Amino acid sequence: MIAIFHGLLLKEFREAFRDRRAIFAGLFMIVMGPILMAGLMLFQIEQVTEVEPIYVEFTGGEHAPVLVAYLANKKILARADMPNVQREKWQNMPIKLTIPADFSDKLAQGAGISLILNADFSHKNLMQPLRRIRSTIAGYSANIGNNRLLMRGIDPRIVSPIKLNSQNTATRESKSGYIMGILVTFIMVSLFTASMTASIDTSAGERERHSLELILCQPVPTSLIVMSKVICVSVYGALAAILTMISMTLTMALLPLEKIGMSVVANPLTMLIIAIMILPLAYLAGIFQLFFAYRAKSFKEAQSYLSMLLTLPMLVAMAIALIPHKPQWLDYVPLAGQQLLIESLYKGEAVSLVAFITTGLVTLALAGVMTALLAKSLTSEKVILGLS
Amino acid sequence: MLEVTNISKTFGDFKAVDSVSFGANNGEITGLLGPNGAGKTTCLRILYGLLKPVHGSASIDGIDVHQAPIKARQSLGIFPDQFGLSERLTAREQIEYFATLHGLTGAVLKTALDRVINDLDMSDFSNRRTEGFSQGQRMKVTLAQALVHQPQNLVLDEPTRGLDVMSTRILRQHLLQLKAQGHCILFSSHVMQEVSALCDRVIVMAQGKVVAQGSPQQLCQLAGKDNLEEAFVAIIGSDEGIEA
Repeated sequence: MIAIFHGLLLKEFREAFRDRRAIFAGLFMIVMGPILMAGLMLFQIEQVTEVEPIYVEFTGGEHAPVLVAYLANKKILARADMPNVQREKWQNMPIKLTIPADFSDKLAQGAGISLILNADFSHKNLMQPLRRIRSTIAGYSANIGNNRLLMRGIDPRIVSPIKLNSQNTATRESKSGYIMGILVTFIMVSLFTASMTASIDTSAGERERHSLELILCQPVPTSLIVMSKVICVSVYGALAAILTMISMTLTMALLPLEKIGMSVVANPLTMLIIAIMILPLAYLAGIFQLFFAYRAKSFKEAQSYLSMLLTLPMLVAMAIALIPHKPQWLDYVPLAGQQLLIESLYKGEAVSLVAFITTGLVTLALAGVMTALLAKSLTSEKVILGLS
Repeated sequence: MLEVTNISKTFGDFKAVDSVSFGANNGEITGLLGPNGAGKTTCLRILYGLLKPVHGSASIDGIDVHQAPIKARQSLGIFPDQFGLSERLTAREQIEYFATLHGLTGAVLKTALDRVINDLDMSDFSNRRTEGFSQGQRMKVTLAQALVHQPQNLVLDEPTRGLDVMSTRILRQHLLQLKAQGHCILFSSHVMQEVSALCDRVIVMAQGKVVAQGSPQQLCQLAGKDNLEEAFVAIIGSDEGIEA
């Protein structure tokens, strides 16, 4: 029996690892994942760390040259000096700041001065610039006020008795929540894409080549045939997912994430634990895909079934991101449970051992049941009659 | 030795096989002749243990295929109507796969592979992947994978469909050789010449029933005709589905 199983496995591995299409599918995410992720993150880092210039049309700027210079220092610049590349972006978002002619007189007298900020306050892209202009001018104003008090020998704190200090409990790791979501989704998609081509080829492909009936006529129980196939397909998926995980984790570790106040736990132990969690999931993904691919008569038909299945990891990731209060049982659901656990590991949070073991066992049990069902279905007359 | 006894099989209201009995003896080539849709494939699938008959039984070397399918199939070699070769395996690997399914390993496996590759004169292409093989080469690989475990019984399902003259000749020579060695060969076909040239005994099927059986000469006498084709038409009552 062991010799027969060895023969079955050898043939599956020979076929799968010589299949260029399947190898390409496996490599796709290993290579593309880090590139996409790095691109996304670098864009994000640039956005957050660079202060975007704001262009304002000054009316009467000449009356308050010091204020204008102060604003310019804070990257709030005159529209007249706007470079051509920015013109298109700011064309439909005019901001006008009117400085009255008696600005310096009133400032000298210590009288109140009114500036006018004119813009479309409902414009989504203007909200942040307008907030920046207001706070910059308020800061400038407060500065002058404080200096006036100091010159009169008064502590400026007398006019602002209460100061609110915020303490943010978010750690660098926990802030990176949504990145973790993307990272985990990439690993799951890699798992499914890699085993998809291999599983179709060995099931619907074999049927299309008219080999399946002959194999079913051999003195071998169908359970052995199914097991050899699912092991091969799972190894394929697990290899691709683990390599994607390693390549993406290392990429994330190399990116200057600290610039946006984030970081990823990327030590070998974390990666090892994640790899262990991927294994039962690879088995489930493999048997799931084989199960549906065997329902199809041709390679093409199977492809259309399985590409629907491919959206599953993405849907689960989306559902996890959208559910505001995650119910406890979600931790034990295959795919969702692993995604949550892997996210926690990347964030450096404590992970429940019970959830880790239970998710793994539930995943294995479900995969085992599907393996038995598939082995049984291959002995059914319906499948045999569908062969010709 | 292959034997089916009084088997019937229905699909819904359709009676595909109706109380069919026949046997195939060692040292003989038995032909299963019938037009398309006569129930030949269903009979063979029952014999392989893939389909369960409504009643009746099938056995290989006296082992009931439904009580012990795995054991019964061990002395069976199958040459299917379509050569489902895996293009990413070499001819040798393809044959090796079927040999291991019959439990061959180690030195025994290697000897068996060398022997069958040598017997069928395949050594010049046995280490090439089967992609791009000619029909003749594919036929040899398929025959080799059916024979590598030296089964006592060989079943061929429409074996010469799509084969050129040379490949058909080679196949025939091998079948005659196997017969001389005392193997039991069951040969399903709807091609008249083939059956009359090769078979010792012919079982004629039509509409799910055995309508006649005997040697080609006996069938001619039975129908009162001088060649098997005429006899066949007379026996099944129509010339529908017969390829000359």
